[in-house]
Amino acid sequence: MTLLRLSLRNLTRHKRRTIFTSLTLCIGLSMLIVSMGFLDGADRQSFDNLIYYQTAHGKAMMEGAFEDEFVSLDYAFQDADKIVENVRIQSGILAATARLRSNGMLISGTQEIPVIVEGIDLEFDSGVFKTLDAIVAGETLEPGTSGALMGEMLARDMEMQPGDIFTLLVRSAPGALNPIQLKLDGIVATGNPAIDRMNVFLPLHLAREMFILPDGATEIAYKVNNEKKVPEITEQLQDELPALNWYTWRELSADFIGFADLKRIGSGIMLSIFVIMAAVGIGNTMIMAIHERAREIGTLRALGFTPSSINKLFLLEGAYIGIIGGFIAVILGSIVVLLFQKYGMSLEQYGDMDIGYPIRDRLYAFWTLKSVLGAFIFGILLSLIASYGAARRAARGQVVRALREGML
Amino acid sequence: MKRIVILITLTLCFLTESQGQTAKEWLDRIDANMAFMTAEFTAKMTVHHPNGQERMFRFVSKVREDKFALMEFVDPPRERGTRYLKREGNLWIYFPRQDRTLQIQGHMLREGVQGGDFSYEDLTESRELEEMYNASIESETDTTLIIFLEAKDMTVSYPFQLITIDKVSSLPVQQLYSGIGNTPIKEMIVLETLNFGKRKFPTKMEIRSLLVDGKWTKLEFEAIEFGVELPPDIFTKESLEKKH
Amino acid sequence: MNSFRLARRNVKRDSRRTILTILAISIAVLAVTFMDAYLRGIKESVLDTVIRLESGHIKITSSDAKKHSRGIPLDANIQQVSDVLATVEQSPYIKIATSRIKFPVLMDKPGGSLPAIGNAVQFSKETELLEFEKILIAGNIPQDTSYGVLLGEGLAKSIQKTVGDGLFIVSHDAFGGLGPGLYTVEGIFRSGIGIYDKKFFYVPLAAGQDQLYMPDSALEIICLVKNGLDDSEAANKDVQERLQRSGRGDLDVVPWNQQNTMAAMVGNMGAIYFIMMAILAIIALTTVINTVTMSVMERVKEFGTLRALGYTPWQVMRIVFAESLLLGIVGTIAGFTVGIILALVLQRVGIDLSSGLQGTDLPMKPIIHPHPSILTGVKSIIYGLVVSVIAAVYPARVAVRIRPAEALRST
Repeated sequence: MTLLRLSLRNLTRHKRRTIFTSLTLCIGLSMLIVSMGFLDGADRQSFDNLIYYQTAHGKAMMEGAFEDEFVSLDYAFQDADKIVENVRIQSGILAATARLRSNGMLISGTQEIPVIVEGIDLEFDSGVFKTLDAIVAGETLEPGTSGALMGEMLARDMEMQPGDIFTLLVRSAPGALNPIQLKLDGIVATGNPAIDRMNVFLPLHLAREMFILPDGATEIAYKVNNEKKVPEITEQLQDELPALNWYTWRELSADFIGFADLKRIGSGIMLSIFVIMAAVGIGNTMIMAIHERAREIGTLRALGFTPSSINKLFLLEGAYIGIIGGFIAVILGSIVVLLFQKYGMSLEQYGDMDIGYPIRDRLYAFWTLKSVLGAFIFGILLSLIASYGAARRAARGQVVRALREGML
Repeated sequence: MKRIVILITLTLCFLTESQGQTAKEWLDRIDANMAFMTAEFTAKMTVHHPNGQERMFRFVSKVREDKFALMEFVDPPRERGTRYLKREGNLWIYFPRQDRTLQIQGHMLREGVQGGDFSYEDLTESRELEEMYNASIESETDTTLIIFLEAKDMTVSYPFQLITIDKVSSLPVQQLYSGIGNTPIKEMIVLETLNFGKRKFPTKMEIRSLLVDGKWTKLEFEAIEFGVELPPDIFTKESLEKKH
Repeated sequence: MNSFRLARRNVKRDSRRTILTILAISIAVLAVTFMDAYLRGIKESVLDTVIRLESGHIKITSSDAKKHSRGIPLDANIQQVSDVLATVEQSPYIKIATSRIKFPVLMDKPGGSLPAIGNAVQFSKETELLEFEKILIAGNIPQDTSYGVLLGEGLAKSIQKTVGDGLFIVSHDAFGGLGPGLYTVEGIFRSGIGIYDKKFFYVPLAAGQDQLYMPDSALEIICLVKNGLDDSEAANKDVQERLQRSGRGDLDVVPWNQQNTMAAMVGNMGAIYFIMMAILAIIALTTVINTVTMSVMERVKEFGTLRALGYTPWQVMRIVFAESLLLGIVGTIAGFTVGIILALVLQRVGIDLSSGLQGTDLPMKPIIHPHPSILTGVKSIIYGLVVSVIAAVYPARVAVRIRPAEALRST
């Protein structure tokens, strides 16, 4: 009889115990999977948010623009459309678009408030950003009209509704003041407080007219067809078009990513407590199993099983428990993660607070094979380690004593 | 065309005769007939905010042509002794209580003087009108003449201006400052004129924002003296920071 | 026979299994004890920090203030603030009431400018609030009548100023004009809170009012209540009524838990704590159920004998419960002891989360000091005992189901 079959039979023989032990592990692992799911979700949502609304997969800017805390036309450049064309034909690039950002004053009635004015290319922007999909009230921008979009919180501060007329006073690149009347077409809720509180979006051609920067832009944003290749493609763009500085989204959001990693470590501490509990549970049951089966082990030894094969036998049992518990945990955990991936968890009670993630309203979990597989393998390893002590004890036990007294 | 800097920002054109045909001729004539190069004013400025708050300032301003000006606040007590020096396109502010001087540059240039309707940038502009604008007669009646100024390029803050001149007094009565697209940003209206010797001079005027409701700045001249003797070193940082 | 004595004998009989079961319970109790202290530490840290630095137990602002999501503009201020303060201080609930003004400025730094946040405060009244005495790392706390400034450590570094240097700050005044202020750097502080150290500076209220042209006005009044959090609501009501009576119904009076999101944050922490307790309970339960069931099944013969000797199912059940409870008591004591020691040690040492908090504007001290309370002890002990009793339900049922004859027959 092989060890594998023997250990399997042992497990089926002590069904209840197997189930209990697996259950302990299962709960610990399920928790791990769910927590990972939420962390992955928070990361993905934040990264997605950054990529969708702020950084794209990467951006090109003038030297110094990224470091400057102020948004201004000092960093505008010409021939943007040609550069965009040039970017678009580079290998690995899916889409590229130009944006023109500067500051301005939003005026409505007696209110005057500084805002960020951002011109977006209606033809190409949706290929790179999702800003135009984030409209929660009103309509989207139409080319050729004097319409604008506004961040949700900004609109709330200004007490404005879609259809309202407002004035934007900007300084054109040469220096002349430019007051322009715009209709608020729609309200944008990106979930990123920085954008929702500060931004006014308008068609790029209008922004260019307004700032007197025909064919100008302050940044070129691009989307690649394979996210993993962003650094490589960005480097290639830097070589190809050295007049601008090219940054990957990770570089553009470096502060945030460092923070997200640390958050992960923080929750790791909490999770490790669960895991220790599970390990103690497994170790506990395994030792009891050996204890209970002292006569059986003695018999096996008497039948010629070597200590090392006894050791293996119990390790295998541990592994099986890990597999069973892990398997159930994968299913249970995945169900929970997928449910939260679909429906999300409300963050409304946090209100407008900056909780360190560019997420508001709902937090969605995210199922990744990496996390689930990791938890599964971790579970097996954990039960192997937990049963190691017991297995060693079983292997080392005195045969005669085991047979006679039923004790190891 | 020469301008006299009044508040250091507000530019008024002085017209003495009204029989010209073209705006260019009008402006040339003004240049030729410019009667004085220096002046000293005492003026009261009231800044009205959209939220209803109002603030009053009184200052004495010494000017030479349109490139140099030194103005000193005398009221309210909080501002007393605060001086602005305009010199060839630069602007410094001296704060007496702190005994420190600040050069207004960068982002600050775009802000309103004392929260009012003149920006610091308006103050620092020192190019000749003629250098910046093409002038044409927009319309003319028996009593008024409207001159349309169109910027030669977009480097000026207000690319379009409309100046209404009262032919009788040869004084501007209204000036409309517009942005790109000829969209009005603010207007200046002369509310009162007084005789100073044989010269008529606007003594009360109002600048009103045409974008923000309820935002205006009123300026009243309490004393004006033309052709004063000004020491040669008055428009220097030393005199800006001089202690009384 | 007394079920506890029987239980004790059983427990003693198999020391190894007993130890393992106790271990499972004690780890659960340990975790609960520690978590309780840890979360309490975080909660207190956040609450304490937010209350001291931002919200007070009660905050008074002008009613225009709440409309602005980007911070209170200087013109939405409280006029005749000293009268308001006097009214507020008459309330028997109020321990401290102090005015503050927060204002944005651009600081000159080599090669450019740096946005910073000024705070005009009454230093003499902030001892229990901003606690400058505790965070000062160089120099002194400015006098209330002086033009001294306290700089955050990071800000001081950025603008290259040190104690004794002059600092000329020009901001906007409440009317949109220029507000100049010439200060002397009196001291430098390190609060450990990212944004405070990098962007904040403090000037005396009078100097700030002068610079910002806000004579006898402030943006907010922060109050501490004598009996702390518990009395906040009552104090809030009292202050509100007093202000109404004195004709200052134009002001908003808001308790700490209704200001932006504090209440939510703290409330959420309660939920997290509950979930963790539940998970730990489930894990501990499965382990204890497992062990106790095992021990019951192992003793089928014994229980059969007991039944044959005339023990009622109830008596058998009691034996099992007693056994589990006994293990529970020992495990709980052990777990609690270790947990509380761990918590107490870390309370002294602190847990450093500073690197993780850098990117956020959360007003939270980066070093967490777990704070065990008597309640922590009570909770953990009840928790351990309840878990061990619940864990006995299933094995007890198993034991009761053993039929005497069957049990005796089996080997």
